[in-house]
Amino acid sequence: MEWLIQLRQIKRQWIYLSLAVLVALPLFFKIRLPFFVGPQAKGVYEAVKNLPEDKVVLLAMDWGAATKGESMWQAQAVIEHLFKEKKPFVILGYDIQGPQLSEELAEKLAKKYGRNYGEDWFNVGFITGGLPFLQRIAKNFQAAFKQDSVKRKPLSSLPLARKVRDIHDIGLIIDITGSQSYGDWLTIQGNFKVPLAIACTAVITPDLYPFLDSKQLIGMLSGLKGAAEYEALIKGSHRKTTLKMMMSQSMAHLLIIILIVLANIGLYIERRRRSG
Amino acid sequence: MEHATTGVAILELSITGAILFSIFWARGGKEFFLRRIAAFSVIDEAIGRAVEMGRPILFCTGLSGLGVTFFQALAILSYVVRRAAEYGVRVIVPLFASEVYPLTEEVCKEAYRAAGKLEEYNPSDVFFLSNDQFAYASGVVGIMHRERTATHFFLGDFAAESLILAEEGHSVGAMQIAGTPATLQLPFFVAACDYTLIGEEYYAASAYISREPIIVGSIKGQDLGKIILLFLSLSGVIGVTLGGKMAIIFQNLFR
Amino acid sequence: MKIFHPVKDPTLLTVYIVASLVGSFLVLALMHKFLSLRAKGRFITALTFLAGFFYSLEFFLPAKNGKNFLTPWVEPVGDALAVIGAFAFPLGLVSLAIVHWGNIKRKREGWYFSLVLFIATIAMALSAFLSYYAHLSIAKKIYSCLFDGLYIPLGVAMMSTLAFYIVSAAYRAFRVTNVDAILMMGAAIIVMLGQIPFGMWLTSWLPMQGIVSSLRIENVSNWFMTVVNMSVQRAIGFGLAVGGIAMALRVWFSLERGMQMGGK
Repeated sequence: MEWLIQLRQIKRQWIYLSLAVLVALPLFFKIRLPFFVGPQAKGVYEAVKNLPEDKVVLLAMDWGAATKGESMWQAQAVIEHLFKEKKPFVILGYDIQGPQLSEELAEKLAKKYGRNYGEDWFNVGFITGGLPFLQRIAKNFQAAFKQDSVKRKPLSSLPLARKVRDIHDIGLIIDITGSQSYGDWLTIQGNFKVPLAIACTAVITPDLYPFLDSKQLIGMLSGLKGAAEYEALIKGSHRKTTLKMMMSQSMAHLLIIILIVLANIGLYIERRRRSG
Repeated sequence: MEHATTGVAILELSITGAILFSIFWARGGKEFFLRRIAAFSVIDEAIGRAVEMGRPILFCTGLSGLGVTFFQALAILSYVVRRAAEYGVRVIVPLFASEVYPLTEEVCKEAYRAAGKLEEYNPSDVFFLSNDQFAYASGVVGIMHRERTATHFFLGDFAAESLILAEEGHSVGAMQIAGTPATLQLPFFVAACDYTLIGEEYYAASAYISREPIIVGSIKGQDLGKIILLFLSLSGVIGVTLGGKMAIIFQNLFR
Repeated sequence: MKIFHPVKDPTLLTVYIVASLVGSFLVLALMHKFLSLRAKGRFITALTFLAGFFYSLEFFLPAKNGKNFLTPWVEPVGDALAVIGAFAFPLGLVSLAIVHWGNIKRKREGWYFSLVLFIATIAMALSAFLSYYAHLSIAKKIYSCLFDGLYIPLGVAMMSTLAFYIVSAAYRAFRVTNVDAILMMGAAIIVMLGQIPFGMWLTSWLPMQGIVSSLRIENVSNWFMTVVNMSVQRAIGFGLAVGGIAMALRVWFSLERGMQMGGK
């Protein structure tokens, strides 16, 4: 019985080693389990599919390398869907790295779908100044930016950029974020009534359900699961990879549950022994 | 919204009015009851622990820039530094945002002056560390291990690095008190820290510590504000459920 | 507003910048010399009140076509505040330099790490400037090595350690000792299983449609998030919002005495 009580005191090193091994396993061995798409991801998918012909999507890439594990897969899935559906988009972001990392994704996918920079998408890069700057963009997009961040040319030289004059030319905002930058975008959604979807890291999603309920958000992608759901919906190029990574996440969750159960078994037996 | 609608103006002015009314009421001599908040009751105990062990205190304000969250952390910092200075214990304050550095330095100096120990103030205990989230977290963890801090205060705005700081703090055996208005980080602090300020307990900090009537009055005003919101929510639920004109009125109240 | 339009003439721009810097310095120097501590505190209180009053008034005053008489001032005032904030940025660098230079000068324990800080800062800044402005290929390579090869992976690595910390924190902290804890644990396990394919597999035998489908774990998990969690988040949000208003009022009217110059 002593060994059961010891379950309460498993050393951290063994826990970390188990986690590393279990998370790595699905990357090497095929484990197939069912996967179902939730209503929040479907909301984002429908919003992109039903975007009016004359509108542009605004992708706010408010993520950096630290949240790459979730945000990059979301960004990849969204950009691939936009290219597939031939929906034009503009990239900008509160994070210095976000627009840069997304541009690399866009360029890779553009080659696959035969899309061209300046005609199908453009990138204005890192933005600063918070909500006042977003208000300025909403009123006059052209005046807010001297040039794009890739070719470093005036916006007037890019055919797609010429079409984006103000917020009324934006049909959908998708904020891909690893922080709580969505507050500003929610304000813009409230002021100008532009549909807003958020793709965020899993830790942030509990905060966003009130906004889904009040219809301020039309959809949400939650962490890696959201990316996998979206890849499944669009039948994207990375759906197998994201599903594999979901299996790794499954292993991590299962380990946590098992460890909690073991610790509580140890605690229960120790208490019984003390009271007995 | 860019400008207040009638409904929003009435609501905001009601809540503000309730808070100001309570402040003036408190100034007039009315005493308000504040319930016991465990985290505040043990601040002195936490400082005492550092005194006994002869090790410094770490006061981490997280990713706070200049804003209400930071000012609240500053109010608690002022108290902690004054008490620590009385017993000759260092308080290390690594900062995330450079614009808060002069204010923090001034507060710490004033606290030492109030304790009568200005000559013992060490300016290098308050410093800008980094404005990158994980560089800041790494730096703070390094400080914990090198300085072997006995007590940690995590008060301010935190994001993902909260668990790193709290877990590493636990691994060095420090007593930890945390508080943040960022509700998403509260589960991590509750799991890894000894005491956590949840929700608006964080904003009650300066009232609890100073017991100044004006600030206690504002806490009472917050309760009145919440009653107004509760009444509005209940009315809205009933109105919308009943349907018809009532539903339309409530749905368009703030538009 | 014409007064805030950008100045294109370089000579006029230089004159404005120099005059603003000299003028600000003079005003601050005179205030520092002639005002008592109490008077300085009162000045700060008045300025704080005016700043908050401006934004509050602009928000509450009725607007015609989205504008009232204060609206044209919002953008330039916001720009001015951003510029003032930017002046604070070097303070952080100066503080960092003073602390670490002191470490190197006095050869305190770990002084070589302070040396690494200076080398890394200078290397990153120089390579970025040279690659962007002078278009030097060697500078681009160094910048790429430091940014893409070092800075980004370090950030990712720190974020990755969170997974390990979550597991060890959950193992250490989650003890079922009373009814509340049992309920919380049950909800946590259901939500965790509802996020992963393994959990979905456990209840995949239940039909996708109909009343029984609501017992599928992903639907139960979704119910927890959209009903239970959402209402609690709203409640905490209300409390925090009202607390934030109260705190903002205290700062606006400078009732937080501990932070004032000359205050107790």
